Amino acid sequence: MVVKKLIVDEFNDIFDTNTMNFREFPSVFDQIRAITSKIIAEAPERFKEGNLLEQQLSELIKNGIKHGNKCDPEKKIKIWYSFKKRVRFIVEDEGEGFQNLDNWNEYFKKRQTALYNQDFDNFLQLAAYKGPTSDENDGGNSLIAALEYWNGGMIYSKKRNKVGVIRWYTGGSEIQVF
Amino acid sequence: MDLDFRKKPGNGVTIVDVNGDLDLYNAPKFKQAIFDIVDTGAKKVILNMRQVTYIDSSGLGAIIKNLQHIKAAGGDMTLLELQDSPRKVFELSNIISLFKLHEDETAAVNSFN
Repeated sequence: MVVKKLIVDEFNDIFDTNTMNFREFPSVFDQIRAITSKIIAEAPERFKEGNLLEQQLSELIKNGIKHGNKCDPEKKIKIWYSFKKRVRFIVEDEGEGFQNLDNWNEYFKKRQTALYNQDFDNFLQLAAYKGPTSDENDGGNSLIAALEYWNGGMIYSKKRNKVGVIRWYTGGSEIQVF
Repeated sequence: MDLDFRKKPGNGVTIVDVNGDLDLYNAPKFKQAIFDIVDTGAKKVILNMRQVTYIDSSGLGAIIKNLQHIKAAGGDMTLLELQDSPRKVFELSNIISLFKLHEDETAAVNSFN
């Protein structure tokens, strides 16, 4: 059984913002999908995969606005993005950071173990689990999907208030036709 | 987002036609609506997802909570015509194995027998 985990690496190249575009927005909950749409509108169609790219970026922005900045419009959500050959985002909030990251890794390990053992009652309980900072309306599954979707990495800064992600579409190589 | 409820005569199955995005804005209302029909006696529920093209983690969370609630009441829930993008989100979240999926309404209704 292989279980992925969230990692912290302050000095990872994933946080190199050189050549990336940048936008920032006030942290207004009602604007999460609108902000997402503005960024995704600049993405090439081949990266969108239906609305999957939009959905995954929306989760990162929601985490920053809701959990990081507590929907305080005075606090900004900062987004760096690049669509050159692959999709790269860096999303930073002004909050205290994802302090439950290690606990989340433990939770995910338990959940994957229940699935591996086909213990579906336990798995359903774990799938419905909410973290200590989640409210009744949080899904609890966004990070699990993100770990799968961001196939080039999903890495947090040391303070854990900034996350960098990459999705490759070519396995890292491009095909040359002669 | 709109919800239409259809009761199939005879076998006690309730079909819920979901129209619109199951996202962070609509999920709370959606979850409560399903809780309400379960609390008033619906035990066999089909979620018709044909008109849902966008779902996020809040929508997934609502569906999981609904499944838990129905199972606790001694019932079950199936999903009908899950579309490509939402299906991918279910798969990425590793929860697709929790659900019975159907592409045909008659087969979904008969699955409760």
